[in-house]
Amino acid sequence: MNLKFWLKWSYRDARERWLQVLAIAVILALGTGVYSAFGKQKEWRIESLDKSMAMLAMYDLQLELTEGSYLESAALESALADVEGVRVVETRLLVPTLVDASKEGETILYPGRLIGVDLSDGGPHISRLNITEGSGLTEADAGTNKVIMDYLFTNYRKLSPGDSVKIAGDIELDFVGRGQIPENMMIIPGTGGFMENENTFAVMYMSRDTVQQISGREGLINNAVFLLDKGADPDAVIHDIKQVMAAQFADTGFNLTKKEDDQVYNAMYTDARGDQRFWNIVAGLFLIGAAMATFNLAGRIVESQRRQIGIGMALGIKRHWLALRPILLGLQIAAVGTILGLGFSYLFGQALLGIFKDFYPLPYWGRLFYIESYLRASVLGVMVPIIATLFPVWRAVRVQPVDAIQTGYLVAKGGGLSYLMEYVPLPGKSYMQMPFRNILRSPWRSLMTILGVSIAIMLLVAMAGLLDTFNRTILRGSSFYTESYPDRLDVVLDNFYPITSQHISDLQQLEQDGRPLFSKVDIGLVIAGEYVNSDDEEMLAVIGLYDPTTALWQPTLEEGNLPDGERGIVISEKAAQDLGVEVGETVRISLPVREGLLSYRMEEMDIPVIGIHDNPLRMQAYMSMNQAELMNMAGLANTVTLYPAEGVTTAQMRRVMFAQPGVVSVQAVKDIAQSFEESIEIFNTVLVMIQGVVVLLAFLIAFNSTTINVDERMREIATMFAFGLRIRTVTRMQVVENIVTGLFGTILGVVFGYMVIVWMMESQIKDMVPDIQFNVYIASGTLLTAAVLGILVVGLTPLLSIRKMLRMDIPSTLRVME
Amino acid sequence: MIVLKHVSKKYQMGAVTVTALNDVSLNIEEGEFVVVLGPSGSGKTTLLNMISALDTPTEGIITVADQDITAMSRLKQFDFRRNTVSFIFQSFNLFPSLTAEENVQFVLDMHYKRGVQPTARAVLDSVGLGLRYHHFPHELSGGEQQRVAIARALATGNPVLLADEPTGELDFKTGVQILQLLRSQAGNGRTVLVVTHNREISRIADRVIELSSGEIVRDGAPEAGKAPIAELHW
Repeated sequence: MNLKFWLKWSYRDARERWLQVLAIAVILALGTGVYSAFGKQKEWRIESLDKSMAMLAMYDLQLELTEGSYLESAALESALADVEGVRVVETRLLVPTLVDASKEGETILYPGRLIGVDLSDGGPHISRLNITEGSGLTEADAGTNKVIMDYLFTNYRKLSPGDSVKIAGDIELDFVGRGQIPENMMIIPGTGGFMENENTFAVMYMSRDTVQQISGREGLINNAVFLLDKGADPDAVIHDIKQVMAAQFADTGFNLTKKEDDQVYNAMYTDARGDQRFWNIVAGLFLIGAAMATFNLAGRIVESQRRQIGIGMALGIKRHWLALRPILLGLQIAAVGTILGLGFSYLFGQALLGIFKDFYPLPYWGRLFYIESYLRASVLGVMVPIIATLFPVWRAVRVQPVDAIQTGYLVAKGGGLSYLMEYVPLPGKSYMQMPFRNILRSPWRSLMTILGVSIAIMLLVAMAGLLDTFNRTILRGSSFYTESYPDRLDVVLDNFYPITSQHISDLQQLEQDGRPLFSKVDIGLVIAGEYVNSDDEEMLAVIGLYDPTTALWQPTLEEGNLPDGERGIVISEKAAQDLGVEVGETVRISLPVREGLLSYRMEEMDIPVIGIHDNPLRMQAYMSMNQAELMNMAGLANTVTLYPAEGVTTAQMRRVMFAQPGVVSVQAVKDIAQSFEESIEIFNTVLVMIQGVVVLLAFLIAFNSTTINVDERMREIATMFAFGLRIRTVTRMQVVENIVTGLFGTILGVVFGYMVIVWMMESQIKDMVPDIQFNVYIASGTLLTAAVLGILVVGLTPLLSIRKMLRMDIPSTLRVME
Repeated sequence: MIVLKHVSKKYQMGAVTVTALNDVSLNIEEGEFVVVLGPSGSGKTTLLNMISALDTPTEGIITVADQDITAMSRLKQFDFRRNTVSFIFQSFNLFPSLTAEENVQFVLDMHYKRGVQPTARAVLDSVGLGLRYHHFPHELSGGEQQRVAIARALATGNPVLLADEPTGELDFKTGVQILQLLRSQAGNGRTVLVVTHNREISRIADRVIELSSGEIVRDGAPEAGKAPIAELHW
């Protein structure tokens, strides 16, 4: 016996069942590929971020002057350039503005920020611009109106270089390119608007000279960024800078931030690390699903060789040699699977790269292929088919050779559980009852087929169900804001104004062309506080205070009552769950209490919960306006809600409101709904991609399970043909059997899938996105897809065997020994 | 009942042409009990497959019950098998998930007959399995399984019974019982064709057709005359 002989023999086995072998290998490859691509996402993202940050020379330190403070650029630069440890310092001017990039049929009017950067000597040299489209800025552009628009805003608003862009003061800008600087790879507007993000805030980069001219602040700056010498201690540098500032610019307030403390920088890295937990589960599910399917299918292929193993035993061949042939078959499946897995890994990596590039256009994105991750998946990919093949070998070698090789009626297998059918009288002819009996006849085989189908459906339901749950949450959040009065605008003011002040009064009476703009104006307060819980977990609370007697829009409730002027708060279901409170109980909240004109202290107070609202956002809470006295803010307002007058559009209201003094944010509630979508968009996009893979995987598993089933029944089919039963009748019987098997597999798969989603939500998503409540939801479309795949496709799989049946050599098949 | 005219069957095995049957002509009458005898590879099973339309000849014409099965479409062949011939296999080929009664009912259902259960039971009674209606194949002995297979073939009511080594898996005593059953069917007007390599069985036949290398080498009554079943031994 030599290895070559066994290799040749097992190759023939593989060739004989090449379609099933290939299908199992593809299943394995899909599992390996997904695992390999998703398993090292964290490393890939962090490596890409590190290199990108280095390429763009993100600042080591940033100095921000307090709002309203400006310094001479040259004075600041020369004062700080000599601080020990500072390698380079560059100054910038950041100016808030209003951006109008409206296109025909679409008003794009949002607050924004102009960032004036130093273009001299090929600058900026610190926190450089990463140009993603169009051209960048050069020294020659100093003083011109050339602007680089933020990538994310323009991506969402579908703006391209050359499109019209105007800023406050009706200044037309020359939109030459799209890009980002490292600290703006995510946009945190800071305007006070609710859930504002890159979609509603436009960051723009111009020459510092131009921004100085536009803002009327010639030679002035309010921001500086530093690169430090290698090995310099940032804290020591901060200390020295503070001393210089105190000595030379004593009246100027400032804030210094290290790169590591930058909100965006932090968020990018935290996301990369945090997301990996989620993708690990997805990758693990794929690999486990594929491994289980492979185990099942490869095992069943080898099962059919048990008699041959018995013959080998009778011939005195040692067991380890007998085990070699199926193991080699398993190895061949594994080899094809892992080689294909390499290709799938590359494909999935490319697909993920495309998605991430769209969200984060870093200048460097590494190749998403980590040999370690691939090898780990491959080890499992190799082990599973081998272990799967060993099991039937182990079963085969346990019996006496004579029992293994004998043929005919002596090997007639038991009827399994088919006796149960005696108690379940079924209508119809005996051959139409056979499918049900066949399922019960070989409970183990049927169970394996059902499990095969259920694994496929589980993966499908788990992935699609996650998407459904996310989308349902988005819809729930959107409808909370937009179910009634969807055209209203929420306006945030720059300060607390007395309700009776002229400023508020002016806003309420705004007109356009002599006609009132608004049909109704609600005055309100938005206060940020924090729920106090026993775990010391930070739980933000954003409380909207409104007058329930006059407000048009009010939150929709799940339980309890709306604010009614009495002391009490309406909180979200998620907050109630996390705090363990119910309507009628109290919550402890830390809220700002006004002490002077601009001074506040935080105070913890117990407030009765009077209602639970339907917003999945944990932070959102509502109280009556008169409860402002708790915070010593009675009679003050910092928000107004505007309802358009008849014939007035949201765009018209926005345009007018942005021109008003003291207005920092004008937000259409529809934008809030979009922000919900944005918050989990990257998950959604990747899950949509994965869904396609799941469907393919599910089809392959289901197809293979059922074709093996049909193969195992060939002798019976030949007998039926010998008695003149037609192909269509035999096919119908197989279809019925498969539909029943598929039905059970689908039901089991849906249950497993649901359990997986619940587990993911409870163990992962709850920690990753603690501010949003996700109620597990499986859409009817997902259930329909599962039913189509698990019942219809599985049910119709025997149709693919018609050709095989047509070409069947009936006499030979009748003689096949089981 | 069964007429073969110059029937040949050749298989192409790579570059080699194997002749399984060579210019075989014969005529089997209704009610005859015929034993086709021959060693392995003599072409006896091929002959059975041709007569049952499980396989088609390369040359020649086969007519069974006045139907030219060589000119039949595939669909017609299914009808032919359903309505004209019935099989008894060496390894029985019963449906393991059906009871004895249901295995018989199965073919009755195919014939769209009503009241199939009493008929199935009657046939099982006729083969001596009156107490075994509800037993699954694995609960029956080899002889009993073969009797169910015979009952299944009889239940069709088809005029031609084809048995391929029907006693091959059975002990002598049971084999004799099965042969008795088959012979009695010939007495009832059915044409019974038994394929075997067991020369002893040919002693009870009306007619023995001996094949060798795909050709008929002898066709006639048993050499020593037709013997009663009680004289058989092997």
